[in-house]
Amino acid sequence: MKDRGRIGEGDLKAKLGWDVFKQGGEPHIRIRPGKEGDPRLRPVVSLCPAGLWREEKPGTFTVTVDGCLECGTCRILCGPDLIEWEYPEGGLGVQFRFG
Amino acid sequence: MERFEVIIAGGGLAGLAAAYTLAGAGVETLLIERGDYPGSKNVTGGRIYLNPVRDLFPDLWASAPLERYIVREGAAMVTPERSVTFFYRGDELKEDPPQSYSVLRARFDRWFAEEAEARGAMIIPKTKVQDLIRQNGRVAGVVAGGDELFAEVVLICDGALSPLGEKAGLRTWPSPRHFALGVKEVIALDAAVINERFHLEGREGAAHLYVGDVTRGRFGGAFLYTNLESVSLGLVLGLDTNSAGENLHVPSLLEDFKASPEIAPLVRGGQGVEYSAHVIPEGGYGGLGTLYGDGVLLAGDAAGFALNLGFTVRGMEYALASGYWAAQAVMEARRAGRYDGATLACYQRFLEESFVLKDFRAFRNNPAVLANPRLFRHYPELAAGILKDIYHVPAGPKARLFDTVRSRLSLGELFMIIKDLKGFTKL
Ligand SMILES: Cc1cc2nc3c(=O)[nH]c(=O)nc-3n(C[C@H](O)[C@H](O)[C@H](O)COP(=O)(O)OP(=O)(O)OC[C@H]3O[C@@H](n4cnc5c(N)ncnc54)[C@H](O)[C@@H]3O)c2cc1C
Ligand code: SF4
Repeated sequence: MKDRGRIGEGDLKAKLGWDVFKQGGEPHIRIRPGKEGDPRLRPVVSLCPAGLWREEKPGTFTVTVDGCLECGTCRILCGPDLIEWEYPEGGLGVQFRFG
Repeated sequence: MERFEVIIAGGGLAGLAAAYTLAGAGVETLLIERGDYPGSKNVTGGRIYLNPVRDLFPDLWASAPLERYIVREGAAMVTPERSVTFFYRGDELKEDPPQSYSVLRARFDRWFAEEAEARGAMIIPKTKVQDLIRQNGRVAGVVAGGDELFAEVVLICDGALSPLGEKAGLRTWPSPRHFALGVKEVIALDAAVINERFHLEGREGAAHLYVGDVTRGRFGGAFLYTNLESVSLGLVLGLDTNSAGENLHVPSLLEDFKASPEIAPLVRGGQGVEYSAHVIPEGGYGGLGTLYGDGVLLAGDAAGFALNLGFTVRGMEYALASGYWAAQAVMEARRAGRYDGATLACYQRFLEESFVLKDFRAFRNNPAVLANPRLFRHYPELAAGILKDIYHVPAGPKARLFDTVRSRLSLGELFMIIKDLKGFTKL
């Protein structure tokens, strides 16, 4: 295991491009207002398998939901004090063909 | 006002098993699934053991769209520079009926749902259960797609996160300690290429597991299962591992694993067709919550029914069996004409008497024993180091085998191994 670089952002996007997503509706994950700078959000930046959590400016976190695999990691790690987390509405979001 | 005997929230294996069983017994059953079709949201590694559940669904397996039956087992300890792998094949693994299969859930669950429908279950996909209806302190129905739907009893089978279990007051917000994250790629490959690379014939399949540097020595492991015309490649990582030092970047970890000398030649030329991820309950017996209440039952991952048995995760059999036993409990309540918690408590008893809670009790020490960090870094290094010395032939005289091994095993090391072995006896 020699190749220990980070996967490029484009490469991760391309990988998410293998999946079928049905977009629409309100974002199903949100950081609670005022909690964007909470350091307890940091671990999910590297754990989110879709790379949707970012530390845009040092100490400030953002999340987007395009490409969300609905894995639940951020829900468990961040907890109800820091984020609102719902499943997308019925028929929306990722639709696995293999699973 | 819409009224049903039973409403099931979630069409994974637990919900579908319950719907299939209830509909087969003539109970009016509505299953609500948020995905485009049952299976479209569901991720597994990919191996199901049939023996524990075969008789619960006797008519199901003959035509089930399973992938390959596993005849070849591989296990590897991986370090950055080298790895130690062993393979097992045995004649009994080829005997009929096979004990385990690789499986792709989008296919299997979709088909299972059709079987349940054929027995009379109503399945509404593309609809999310948004909330539970409570009346007089009991669960009396669900809100889904903006409609209120009432039922004698609601079966919550909404998977590992189970927001509905929380709403029912049967669970609290989950703790990272009790969960792992699984990420996976499905890589398309010709059936003939798979057979050649993995030494298989026809529909035979292989299952490989990896521990060590695949998770950078932290709690977890990686897997490869062969499907008919693809392989499922993924890894599982304990969710609170990032509290243990430098943060691991999960998407990169999977890429590195795919590029490793252990994997790259096996998937060369393959085309990635899906990337998925899902959390897995791993709290074991200690992570289980309350399984029933007035007018409500919890089954499958929603109830915490997945076990980490060291190298492998097992959840599918428990989902199927707990769905089946939840259905039996509903029928018992139906006979009694009461759906209160005291009547539905027979669910717990059924599970205690079945392999489900027997397994959970038997493996109750697993989470503690497997939390031993030496398993994921030190022992792979030690084993690989010993083999490196054994296989090395120097220019001068070669040390005797015993001395070679002994040089890696100081007294302190032996003492640690004995201590850890004592832990392993609890597995
Ligand atoms: C990477 C990985 C590898 C694994 N490997 C294995 C393995 O090799 N062997 C094994 O036995 N187990 C394995 N497991 C565990 C196994 O996949 C699970 O235990 C099993 O899928 C649980 O089934 P379930 O029916 O309880 O939940 P799920 O399969 O998660 O089904 C839940 C269903 O509920 C639906 N739902 C959720 N909320 C709502 C709502 N509000 N309204 C309507 N529908 C809703 C979802 O869309 C979904 O269809 C693995 C898991 C992962 C993630
Ligand atoms: S649910 Fe999973 S994929 Fe979606 S944002 Fe959270 S961690 Fe990322």
